[in-house]
Amino acid sequence: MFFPRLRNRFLDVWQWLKRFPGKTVKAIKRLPGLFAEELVTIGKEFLEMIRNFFRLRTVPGRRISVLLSLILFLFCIKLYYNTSVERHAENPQDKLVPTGEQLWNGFRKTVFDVTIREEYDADGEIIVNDLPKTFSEARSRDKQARVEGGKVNIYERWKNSATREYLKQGESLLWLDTKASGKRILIAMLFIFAGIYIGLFMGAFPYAEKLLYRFVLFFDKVPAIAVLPILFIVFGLGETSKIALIVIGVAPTVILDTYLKVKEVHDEQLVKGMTLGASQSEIVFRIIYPQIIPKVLDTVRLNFKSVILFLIAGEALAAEAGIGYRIFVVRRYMDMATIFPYVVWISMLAFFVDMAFRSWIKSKYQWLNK
Amino acid sequence: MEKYIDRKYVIELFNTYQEYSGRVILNDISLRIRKGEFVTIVGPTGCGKSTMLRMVLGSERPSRGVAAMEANIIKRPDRRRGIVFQKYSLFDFMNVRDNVMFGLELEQFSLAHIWIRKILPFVYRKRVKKFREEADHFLEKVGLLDHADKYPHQLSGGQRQRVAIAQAMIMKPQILLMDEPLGALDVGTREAMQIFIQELWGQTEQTILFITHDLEEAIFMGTRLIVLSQYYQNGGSNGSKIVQDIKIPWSQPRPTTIKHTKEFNDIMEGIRHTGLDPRHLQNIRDFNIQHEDALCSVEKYGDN
Repeated sequence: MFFPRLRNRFLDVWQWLKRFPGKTVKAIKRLPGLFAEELVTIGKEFLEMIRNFFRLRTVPGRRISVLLSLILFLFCIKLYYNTSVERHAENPQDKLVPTGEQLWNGFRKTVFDVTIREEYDADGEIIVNDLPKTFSEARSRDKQARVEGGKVNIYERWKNSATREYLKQGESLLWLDTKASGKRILIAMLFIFAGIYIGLFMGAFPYAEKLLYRFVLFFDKVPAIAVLPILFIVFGLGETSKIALIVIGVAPTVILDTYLKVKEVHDEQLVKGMTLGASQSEIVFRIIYPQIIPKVLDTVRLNFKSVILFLIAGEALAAEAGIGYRIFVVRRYMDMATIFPYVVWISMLAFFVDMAFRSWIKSKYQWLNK
Repeated sequence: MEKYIDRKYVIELFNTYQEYSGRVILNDISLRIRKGEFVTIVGPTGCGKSTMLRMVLGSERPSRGVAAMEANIIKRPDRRRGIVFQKYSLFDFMNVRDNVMFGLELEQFSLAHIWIRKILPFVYRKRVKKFREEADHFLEKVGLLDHADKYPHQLSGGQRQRVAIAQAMIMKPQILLMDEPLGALDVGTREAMQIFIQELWGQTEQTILFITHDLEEAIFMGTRLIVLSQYYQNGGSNGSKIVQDIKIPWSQPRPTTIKHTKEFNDIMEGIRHTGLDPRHLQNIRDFNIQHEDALCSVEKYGDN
């Protein structure tokens, strides 16, 4: 809780009240004093925060830590709110800084409104069914059913709900785009993971190093965005060029990082392996590889940002669906109410994938947590 | 060369030189190591003790001369010569038991076996169980069976070295090479480890080549002491030679109290004076090379 001390006081008083029911009035009289005391402590902590702000090796308490880490977010939200209110006072149709309502509508439009495919019968007439046609219609039907049906198990309610039937008719814009982008990222990641093996090969075998090192080093320096036109000309406007862009942008970094990590492995370990009867391939795959892989996976994780960057750059130029594509399409109509949910969604997706990856590495390679 | 080769010797070095870009590190080293012997090599910093060990190990080839093991020239490190380094002997990504049984796995399983076992964990269960039992046997020998499931970074320095010894011994190498294994330990642990290694040697009759920079440790532990030094002439620019090669008189295991006897101190003082003192320039004839297995006799250097 945010005010643990205050809560504890209340609990104390509550215990005291239970023990002496007759003294309730006295206890209630004590409450303002408690509040005053708490306010004084908060004030003191605030003063201390200001005093300690530029002090080395002084760690703030829990409450101040939470406050400090929230403060910039709150400031940004407040700034946005003020700008929005100001602009809407001048022009109620303003699209550049949408209000909360506009944002919510945009969010609903992209997340919940599905594209309904119309079905035709043999005569070319549209088949009319009684499925809900909009999200709000589905919601209101559900509300009606809840009022009529009374108390039902939440799972049953969802299974029979109109919302589910509505969503099943098609796909929402956001989901469509996420699927298209996710497919590109997954295929690109396969190639990037293959890069780990190239780096391993390069670092372990000096002949392979001589063959590949300068080549990869050169390609690492070529800005991937600059070769994007070449990729579009060579591979066409299809998926290949967008995946190739991501791979060309990120794989050299991963290869070189793996190479450096392999070089960091102590020579003693290789000699030791040889004295234990390891063959060449066993030295590479059973001594070098397990040592470097968690560190290399960390590099891949940190490069996830570049993967998304190149993905959006590729999609912005030519695509049929995709998160980058959508953002750049609605940019033409200055549709901030769509752009914002997309930006938030892609950031959150990247953040959670990163977090999951990190905790997976941490739990799988416990020997790393020295 | 043929006339020297004898089955009772494990390692033989004949007139080996080691030079790095023209600078001589080892100057004409000849050495035979008998089976079952505990040889300690001691010398000042930079005398090429470790270089010599690497030659025996096979991770380095002598620039001139021959390093041989059982009449075969040593080309690369292999499973017949075990090694314990000062650091980085253990694999951090495996627990202690896996570290010890790693050699058996490497020897008897190919990569294909390992990958099959990754997909189907239940295959080869019998063989793995046998490895595990043997690893536990060796861990018991070094007194670390209770720590078998820990990772190396959770152990103390002395424990880590004991695991490294078990890891090398499980392969039953012809010779166990130790490159300053106790160099990073504190005094108390160090003494305990000295006694432990001696006891192990007594039980297994493993041939050991033990390198140290600590003279007291070298005299205390070995049955044969070799002093390598570059300071016999010209202030150390000629490369190192074997300046002393003596048999240590006491039988093993030795009580630590012998470190304080007069005889022990006499040997120590003598070596310090002749071998390790940079100011003590001396003639090659003064070298104390009396061990029965020594190859470089005083007569051989007579023309110098």
